[in-house]
Amino acid sequence: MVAPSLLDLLLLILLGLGAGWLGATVGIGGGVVIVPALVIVFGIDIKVAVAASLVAVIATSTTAGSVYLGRGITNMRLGMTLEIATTVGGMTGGLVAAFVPSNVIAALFATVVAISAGVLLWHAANPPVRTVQAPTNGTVGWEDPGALSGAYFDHARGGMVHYRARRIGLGSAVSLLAGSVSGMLGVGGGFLKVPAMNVLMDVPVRVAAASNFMIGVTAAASVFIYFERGFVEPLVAVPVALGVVGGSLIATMMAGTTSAPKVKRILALVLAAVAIEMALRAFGVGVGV
Amino acid sequence: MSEREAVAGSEASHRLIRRVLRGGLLVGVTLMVAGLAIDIAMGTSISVPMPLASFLDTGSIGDRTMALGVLSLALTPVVRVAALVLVWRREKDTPFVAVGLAVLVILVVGMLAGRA
Repeated sequence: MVAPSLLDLLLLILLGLGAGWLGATVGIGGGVVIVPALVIVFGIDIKVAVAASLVAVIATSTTAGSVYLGRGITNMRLGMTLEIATTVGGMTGGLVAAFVPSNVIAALFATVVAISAGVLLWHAANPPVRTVQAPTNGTVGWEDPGALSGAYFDHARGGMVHYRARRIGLGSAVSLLAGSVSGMLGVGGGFLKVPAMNVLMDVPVRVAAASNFMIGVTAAASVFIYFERGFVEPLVAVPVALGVVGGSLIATMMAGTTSAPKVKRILALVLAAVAIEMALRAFGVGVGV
Repeated sequence: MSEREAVAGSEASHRLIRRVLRGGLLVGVTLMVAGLAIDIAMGTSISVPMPLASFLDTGSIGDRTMALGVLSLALTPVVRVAALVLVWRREKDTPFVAVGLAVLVILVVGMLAGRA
């Protein structure tokens, strides 16, 4: 049970604003920021924090999706295909978490995230060469029916970028891992899926981030469990969610104005911070959750 | 399929899903803002757990309104998956109808597992 003051409610909204901006900018749900902040700064129980974070993940993905869908960047077939593995992983992770020591989970998390950050930084420094064509008749982009391919208009490069997702099996395997980590730690999983789609599946980072709005589906499945068990506390979850909606809207209005390498570097920075926090937690120096 | 047809198909399905998302967001945010305003106006300062099975009988009016908003928001992604299945069925994109149905089945299994 939590008794937030008006100042606390304002700070919770501000936390949501920051997490929402970050989530929509780099394609993660914001949970990696919200859970530690709620536990460390506000002293909120970890399960209540995770429940609030899951609501925030849904808010981020719904807001970002409602904006990105108008820009021809999103590939819903790609997002849905990976969602099969992610939701299965989410359920599996939730079950496995009960039998694995927390410090082992945290160490695993830190390792996976640190590797992802390194790979992403390397990729930001060595971007793949893509063919850019002039847009026709004001087209902003599309996804091809019956395939995991499409095209989008890249503002930074001034032309249409065509892509085709490759290595679906490998991408699904990482999605399974992302879902498992999500189920174990209560974060969105986009911090693994977006780099995987970009680096392993050869999907442009902007398409990967936009298509990853499907993580709301995974979070929705989890949040019903938390709701069922009484961990959703409205005066915690709602201010954060409202802030997240505002932050996501600001970020999606700014999308396309930053270059892909810059987005990748922001994501790598976030991943490095998460890796350090999780490593500290694994060795008992962290936030004590 | 030509580029023109692919663009038209993408725009139509994206428009529909955008409506679903905006509708869910509008309903959810309206209820959450209303509930939060009621709680602040009535001086309710304690946040209480809201179990799904009894949330309509638990907490203040503001808390219940906010919980309803959270529930509306949480259902939006599920409705989105169902809508995509219908869109792809209309487009006769059978492989992706199967993909969408598989996700819906996993979601329902997950929800039932939560109740167990």
